[in-house]
Amino acid sequence: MTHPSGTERDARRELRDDRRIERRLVWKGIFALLVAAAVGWLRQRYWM
Amino acid sequence: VNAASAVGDLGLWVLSLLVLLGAVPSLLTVYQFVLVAAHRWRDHLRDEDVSLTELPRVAVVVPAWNEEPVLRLSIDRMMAMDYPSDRLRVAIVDDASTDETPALMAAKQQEYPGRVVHLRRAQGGQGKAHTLNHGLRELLADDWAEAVLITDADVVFEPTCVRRLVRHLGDPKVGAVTAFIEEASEHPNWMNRFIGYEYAVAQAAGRRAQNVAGAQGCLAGGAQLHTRENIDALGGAIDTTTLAEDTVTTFLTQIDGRRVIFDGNAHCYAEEPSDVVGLWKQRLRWSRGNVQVARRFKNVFFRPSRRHSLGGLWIGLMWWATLLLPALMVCSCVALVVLWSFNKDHAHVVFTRLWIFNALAFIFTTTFAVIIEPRIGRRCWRQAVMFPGLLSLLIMVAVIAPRPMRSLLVHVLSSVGIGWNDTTKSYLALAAYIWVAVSMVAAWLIYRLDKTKRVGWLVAPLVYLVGYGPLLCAITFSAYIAEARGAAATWDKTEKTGKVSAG
Repeated sequence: MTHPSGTERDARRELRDDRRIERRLVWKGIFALLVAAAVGWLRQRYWM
Repeated sequence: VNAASAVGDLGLWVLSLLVLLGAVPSLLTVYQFVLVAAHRWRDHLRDEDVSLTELPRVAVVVPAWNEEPVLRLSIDRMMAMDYPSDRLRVAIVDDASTDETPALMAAKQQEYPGRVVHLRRAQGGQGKAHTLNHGLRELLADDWAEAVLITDADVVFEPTCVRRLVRHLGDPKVGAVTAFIEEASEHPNWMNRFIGYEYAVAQAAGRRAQNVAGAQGCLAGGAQLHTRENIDALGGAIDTTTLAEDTVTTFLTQIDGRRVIFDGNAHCYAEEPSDVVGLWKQRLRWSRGNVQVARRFKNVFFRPSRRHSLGGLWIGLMWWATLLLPALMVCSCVALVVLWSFNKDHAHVVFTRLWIFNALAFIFTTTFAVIIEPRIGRRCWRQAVMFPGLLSLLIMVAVIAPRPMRSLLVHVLSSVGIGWNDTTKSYLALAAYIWVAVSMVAAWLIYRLDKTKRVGWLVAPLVYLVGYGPLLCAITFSAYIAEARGAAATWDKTEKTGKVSAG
């Protein structure tokens, strides 16, 4: 290993961080779905 | 009379179904984003596969023709990569450049001895694929390279990008991995931002969904890491017979039973076209390449196989819907106009249902896409909203909020002396029905206008009005025509200035 920052620990931490990002996608998807559902509800309730 | 009525009803149903074909792309995109949310459950990486003590020796291959301004930055960034310096080598395959590339390479070889290689072709001009193959032949002549990273001269890598990509090679089933290439012009204009958003949808979302579906449609040309075994199995060279050599490589890898993975957290940056003419030139090449690929691999789609997932239903539908998008849109519009001529009320009902679905799908997918990569979202959210164009947005608002929109329209029309009567309503409805098809013609006219270089200031407002989506559709339509008439397939290089803001 010649690069100073390349350690096994960095790789594991990166993997953990990346998995956290992937897990958040579920919540982002749910949020986007709620936004679309809210617009649909507003249409039925007030804009028809 | 009954028979005539039955035929009439059947006709209405057939026409209605043809109109609703216009919802297929939205439906597939919604499903794509559902798959994105499921990405966390399709993680093939196991902790024990990820190791820094066994990093492969990576040879980076960069085809270049007159790229001196961009190479200066990209070589420095590659050398600063967070990767063991004795395990990363960069080969610039110089396609007989006539600029200052040889001088720059001499300087870089001195600056990074043994790590930067200059492979110069005596005669160039055959295109990127031939240049790449020259580099691959040289690099694979000895056994140093354990993995090969194919990239473009202008691509700038985030320091951890290669390290993130090589993690996947710990899985013996993986043949190639691709990274997320972001549009990152230092001073982005409206076009750069449209492309930036498009890449978030097509890569950060689209390729994650393809991971979940088990097959990738295309490795990014500017960031594809292959195992040496994969390149060897491809014959040590990439395809030179189509304009989409990256897609052919992707298909051949998977057909041969090796997986192709997208890592959305491995980032790199590139500069993309900044005007309509540049975009048209680049995308016409891509679209024509996709038509050629569809022809070449027509027997792969919709045919499930034990070796690969390219024959899966969603992959096939997504591929063909993207390729046939302009045809679907025109078909939907024509059917709607025919329906309108027979039964105006029925046409109105079908049109409203189609557009309500498209509008809600647009809200869901745009919201999701904007927050997938918050940094891109902050940079490009205006272009995300304006992606379909202002006129299509107004139609969406009209079907989502009919009452307020009607009041507004009555007010606006009466202020210019037009009464709100059946004739007005009928003309407005017809205009809305045909808009999707007309928008593609309008996009083509904007391209012609941009080519004249006369009223450059008008191009951006017109694209916002007509939409970036219709512009892409018009380019795909143009690709059909170019392929049908067998137009010469030339490699048109996209001009780069070397002004990339990395990270």
